[in-house]
Amino acid sequence: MYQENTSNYKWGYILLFLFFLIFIYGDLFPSTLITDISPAILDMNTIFLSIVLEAIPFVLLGVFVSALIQTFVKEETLARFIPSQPILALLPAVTIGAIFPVCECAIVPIVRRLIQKGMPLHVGIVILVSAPILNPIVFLSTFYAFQTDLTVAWARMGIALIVSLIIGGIVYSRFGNSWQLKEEKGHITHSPHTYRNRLSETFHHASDEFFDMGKFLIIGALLASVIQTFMARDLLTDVGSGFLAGPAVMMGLAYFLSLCSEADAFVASSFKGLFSTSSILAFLVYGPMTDLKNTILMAAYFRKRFVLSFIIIVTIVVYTVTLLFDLFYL
Amino acid sequence: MDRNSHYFVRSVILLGFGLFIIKLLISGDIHKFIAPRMMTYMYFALSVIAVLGMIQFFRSGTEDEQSCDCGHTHDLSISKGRSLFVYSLFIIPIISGMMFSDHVLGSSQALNKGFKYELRSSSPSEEYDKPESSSSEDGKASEESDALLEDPAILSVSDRYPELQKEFQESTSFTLTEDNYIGSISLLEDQVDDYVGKEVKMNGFVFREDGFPEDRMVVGRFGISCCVADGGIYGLLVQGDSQNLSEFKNDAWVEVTGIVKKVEHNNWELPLIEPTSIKKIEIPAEPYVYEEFEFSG
Repeated sequence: MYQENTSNYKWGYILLFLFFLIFIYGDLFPSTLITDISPAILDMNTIFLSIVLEAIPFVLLGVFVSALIQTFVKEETLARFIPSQPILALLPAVTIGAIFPVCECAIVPIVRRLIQKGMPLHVGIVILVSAPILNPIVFLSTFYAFQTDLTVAWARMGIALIVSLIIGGIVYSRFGNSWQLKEEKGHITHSPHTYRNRLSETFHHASDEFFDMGKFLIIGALLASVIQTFMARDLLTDVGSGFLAGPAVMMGLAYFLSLCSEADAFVASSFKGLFSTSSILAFLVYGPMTDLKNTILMAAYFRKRFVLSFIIIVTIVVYTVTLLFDLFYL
Repeated sequence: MDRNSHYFVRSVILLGFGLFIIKLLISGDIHKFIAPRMMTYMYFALSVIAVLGMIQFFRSGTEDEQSCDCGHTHDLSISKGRSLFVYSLFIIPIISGMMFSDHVLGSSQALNKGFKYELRSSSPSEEYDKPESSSSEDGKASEESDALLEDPAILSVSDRYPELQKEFQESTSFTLTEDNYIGSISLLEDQVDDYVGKEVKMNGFVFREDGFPEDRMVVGRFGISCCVADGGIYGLLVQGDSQNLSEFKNDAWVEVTGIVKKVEHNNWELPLIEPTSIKKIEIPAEPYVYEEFEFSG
């Protein structure tokens, strides 16, 4: 036992030494060794790291809120605020989504925790899809990115609201209140803790969850960076920008680029001349609701079948609603 | 691996992330990944990581885990091979980050993302500018958008950069700096006519789209709003016979001085610089320019 212990600690110390070594001498490594093989690898590395670095603060935030909910929110409290009538329950869900200024990386662990605490599945899903879009920061960034066309910012919010309500309804009709998390329902029995205990417990939960979730974030960021580096955007734009193809292409782009919902408006505005407003709206609504990085995060907590149906539902609803919007309003 | 050595390795990994961020902060390379306005979040992340790392470290010294029956899987009781895989996922970005943090995106990514002109000029979408054909069918919503369209000046480019515009219109020559880069190029794209004949000085890296003639290139920089992954190209066409442009290879950083002209290309009026002098320069310490927008509105 003692032997086992020391041998495993050894790896920790080797790692520690390695980190310090690279911290001091890392810059001396000639990057030409890599660029000789393929110059794109360093581009990919930079994009990958920037996605990871940008997401880490928000993941930490999400993990902490989730840990706080885990430790401090009682199941009964939650139940009191959510109407038992399933359709009525969608309204507080959207409100919560609009009030919480959380982006899409942070919302996944929070929603998972809320569902675990007894929140109905469809209510949680509505929060999951609405919170990353319906918030003031995203509104402002969209507003600034589309200076000359205010309709985009307003329409983005409006469509997101309608789409999340429809998604909530469909999820309820298909899944009802069935259990879709990977882990078992139930056994959440907390012995009364003292305050100090609770605080350290929150931190323990948070760091465990950071590692649970971090690995999926890193895999997601890696995939997204590979696609960003090696897929020319013309490839997608060549497919088409017509009435039917345009929104589909832009949704595909949104899915694979996995941008943060606060930044995607600026990327979208660079497509202004090439795609119709409805295609751009499809990009802006679909991306925050689901993308490659988020699919992997969700798959960590939810059953695979559910994640798959979720993506299909979101895709169909967003596509239909933007097309209808295009027909009637634009 | 037993519980305690897991906690120990985790605390070392968190320390590694901390070191990585500190290294980026010291060298200033952080701005090669993240826009300055996101810095508060980075400091937040750094301090949380430090706290979590310490907690994991002291937890690794405790004799036994207090039983915490909270319905989540502590991902600890897994095979050695799998935990090696999981931990290397965290270790790889730390190491590659500390080794190659000074890399700057260049022409290949610019080509990949597409130069704005190319996008706009290749197929100017009619749908985007189409009149409100269905306005009669629906009352309220389109009235609202009509009202917005009638007064586009609310948020036009010139309204967004009023001082910059005034300065440029009054002077006969101007210089693009880090701070006014995005604004200047937006102004130039918006109303070329106001600036034709003026002298411009700018820097950036060189890149060419496929099918550019010999004497044409783009000089531009990446504009970042949150992180490098959302970067887009801001740049101007440079064309002229007076200088031998082919000696400036893609990815070379140059400083261009020249006269603003207007070209018409597929019905789009684009600004173009006819260079009077071009010289090679070193990559600036901050190679990217950043979108600025205030949340206060």
